[in-house]
Amino acid sequence: MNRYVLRFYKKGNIRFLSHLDLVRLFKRAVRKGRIDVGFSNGYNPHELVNIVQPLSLGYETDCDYFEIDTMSEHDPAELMEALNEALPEGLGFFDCRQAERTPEYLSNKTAYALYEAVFGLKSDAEMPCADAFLAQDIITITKKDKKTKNDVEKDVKSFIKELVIFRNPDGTAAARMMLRCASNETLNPGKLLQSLFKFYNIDTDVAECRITRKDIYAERPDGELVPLFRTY
Amino acid sequence: MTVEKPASYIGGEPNIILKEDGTFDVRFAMCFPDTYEIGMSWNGLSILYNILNKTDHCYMERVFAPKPDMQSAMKKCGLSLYTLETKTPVRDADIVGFTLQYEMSYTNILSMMDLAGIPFRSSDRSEDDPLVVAGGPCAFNAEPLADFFDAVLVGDGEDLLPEFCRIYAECRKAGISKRDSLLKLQKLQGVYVPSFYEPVYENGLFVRMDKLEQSAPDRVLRAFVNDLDKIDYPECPINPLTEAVQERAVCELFRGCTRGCRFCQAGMIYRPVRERSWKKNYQYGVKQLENSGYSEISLLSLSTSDYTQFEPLMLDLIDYCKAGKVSISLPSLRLDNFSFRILDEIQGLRKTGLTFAPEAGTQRLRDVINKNITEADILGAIDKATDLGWSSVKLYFMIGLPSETDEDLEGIADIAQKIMDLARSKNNGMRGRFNVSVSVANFVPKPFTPFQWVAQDTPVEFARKHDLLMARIRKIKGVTLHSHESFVSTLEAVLARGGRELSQVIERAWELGAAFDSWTEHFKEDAWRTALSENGIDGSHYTLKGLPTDAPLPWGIIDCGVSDRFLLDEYRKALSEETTPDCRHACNGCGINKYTECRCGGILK
Ligand code: SF4
Repeated sequence: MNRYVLRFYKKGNIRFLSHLDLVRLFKRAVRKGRIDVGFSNGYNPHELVNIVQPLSLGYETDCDYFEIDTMSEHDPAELMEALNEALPEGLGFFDCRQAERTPEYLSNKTAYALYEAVFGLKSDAEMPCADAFLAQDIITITKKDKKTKNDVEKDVKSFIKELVIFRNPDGTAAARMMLRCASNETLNPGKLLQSLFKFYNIDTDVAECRITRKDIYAERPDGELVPLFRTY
Repeated sequence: MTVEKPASYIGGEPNIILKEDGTFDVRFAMCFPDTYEIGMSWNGLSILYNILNKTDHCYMERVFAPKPDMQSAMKKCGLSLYTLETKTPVRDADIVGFTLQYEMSYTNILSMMDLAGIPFRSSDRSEDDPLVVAGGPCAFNAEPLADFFDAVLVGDGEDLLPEFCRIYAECRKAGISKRDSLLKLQKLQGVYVPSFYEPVYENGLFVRMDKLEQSAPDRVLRAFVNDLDKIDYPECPINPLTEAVQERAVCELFRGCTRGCRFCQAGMIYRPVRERSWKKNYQYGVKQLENSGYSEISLLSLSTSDYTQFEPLMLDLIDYCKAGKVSISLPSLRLDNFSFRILDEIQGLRKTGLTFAPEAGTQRLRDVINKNITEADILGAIDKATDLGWSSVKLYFMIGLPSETDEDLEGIADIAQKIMDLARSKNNGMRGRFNVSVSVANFVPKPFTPFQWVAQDTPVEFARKHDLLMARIRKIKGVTLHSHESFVSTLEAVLARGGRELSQVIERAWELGAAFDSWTEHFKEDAWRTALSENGIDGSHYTLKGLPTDAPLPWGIIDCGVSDRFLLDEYRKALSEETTPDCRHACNGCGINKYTECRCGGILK
């Protein structure tokens, strides 16, 4: 079997497609493109495809990753074209390369993801500077406990690699965030913004922020972050 | 503001059809008065969307009922109901069409008109408002909604709807008023214009329908499609973005049914049986799979194994589906030998979905309803099924059928017990390996069936019967019982057999918050009770008394093609426990062949 890794964007209204619905959409695109996708063995065989890191409903992405195993070898450009045929507006693959077929998916290699969030700010409002926020001993976010469904506080300071806030030419404010995004620990940028807005008393609903994932990164042994596509 | 499943409101799905403004004459907003997930599973939408959009003059776009959270969000930000394809406000469409699939969706029609900013009553709408029309199975008695619709389209829509739109487009181009357009449109077979008629009541009872417009037909005959092979069928179904109830390629094997169950409206109003040839079905099925990327195909009909070309179709389809890892689902299957072979083959290791619909617990009552299935049939099939490895079965029954006694209810439990005994004996007495699920629906008498006159049980009586069954079935290990909310069934009967006086009740119930009535968590019993009593309407009048067989019926303005005499004869035979054979053994003279060719009479002779 052969593995291909494709990068895709998801922009505009289609950002409202949930992760599971996206998986189904990709699987259909694979069937529609008559790609000879591999199937798992066992009771209930399923297509060997993988979206590397799920993206929260409502977020856009400039660069997410999709892996697919096929029975025969394909010309990457043709494979990409066949898959793109079946995608709705706002969703598309823009890069496809063959990769070594390892037992593990790239999901196990990811370490961080870079996000950009744009939010409204009154023109005369003081521009918050992330330093004071980051200088806190602990940085807490509120999340729902999966089992009890209660709100719990969680310290995520160690999950933040970078946080910069700046003002766009159009007057809106934006945050650039490099946040933990690994298979066992992730920090949702919306949750961090909520905490940030609370800290600076910014009266903005996170649901109204436009959040975009810019790319996903792996971490070299020396701590350097590299975009995932440079690792396969 | 966040809403659940936002993807159901964005449109842009693979395989939608986009048309530029100015390239068509009529914009048709096809409204499904329930959620996206349910509406996108309705095959009729796929059929009409394909047919109408192939014409040059018309553009059909889809609209579904936003869920309550989305409705309030839309109201809050002043967003009016829009079409999914081009996000055009529904109020700007030329024609707004509602499909009437089940009575409990009626209030959603008002919610949608409200969100669209369209006045509810046709008499309140101006020339600038869209023409509001309806179709679907409940259009056979659209009287309870008659005040809301400019026209009701009755019967098969494939030929009628494009023609309706074409004529309306011409009228609009010529600057003809709505009323004059309707005068032309009513000449089409299947078009009923409620405002051209006035029901007359005496002492609160419907006595006759008066014509307000001389040229209106005395009775509106339903539209027929005679040859399914000659009409277009979708090859590129739209892929729903969020998970729909059913996401699969669909072959419609045939329309109609020859079995003549007396409670079944579909079995009467879709007569005669019209088959699509197996080659066409195969081609459409494969095309749909290829163009949609679905991994499942379903064969649709009222009684799949009655399809005369079932065997050749299945043999080819199984080969195709095995190669492409596509699963096949076969609803409405009779479990004869061939069906078992097929099921065994397509299900492989996963043995699920074995169902029977005996509908009644004793042979006597099954004779009354003309349900031609015996206990021996069921036990024989269970015997075989356990051999082949099935470990569960679902049984469907109705309660509250005419002439039903407690003995018939006991019969339901007896069948479940016998199935368990049989399964256990085959399993060397081991327990826990076999499951039976018994589902009982409350009988709702429907127009255009031999039972259209009969009384319905009260909610109290339904509840007593549920309790009686529960007490019996609880004692049988491995058997579970599922039943339905009784007042919902009462309301269904009221709306199914009601007349025009119900428009105000529906509107009032909606004002009081009734919507999504088919969802238990949304159903507002109080709203409906208040709406009925405020309008001085006694719900039991529609349900408890039964209707005299010699008086006119509110839906008599529609002619479904099956003769009134046949329905009455069938009712009389039911009362004397006399069965009527399957049409394939001999034509029973239902009268449909007066209007269209019937090819199924006596073919098994
Ligand atoms: S015309 Fe005869 S065979 Fe045809 S549906 Fe009616 S009763 Fe059955």
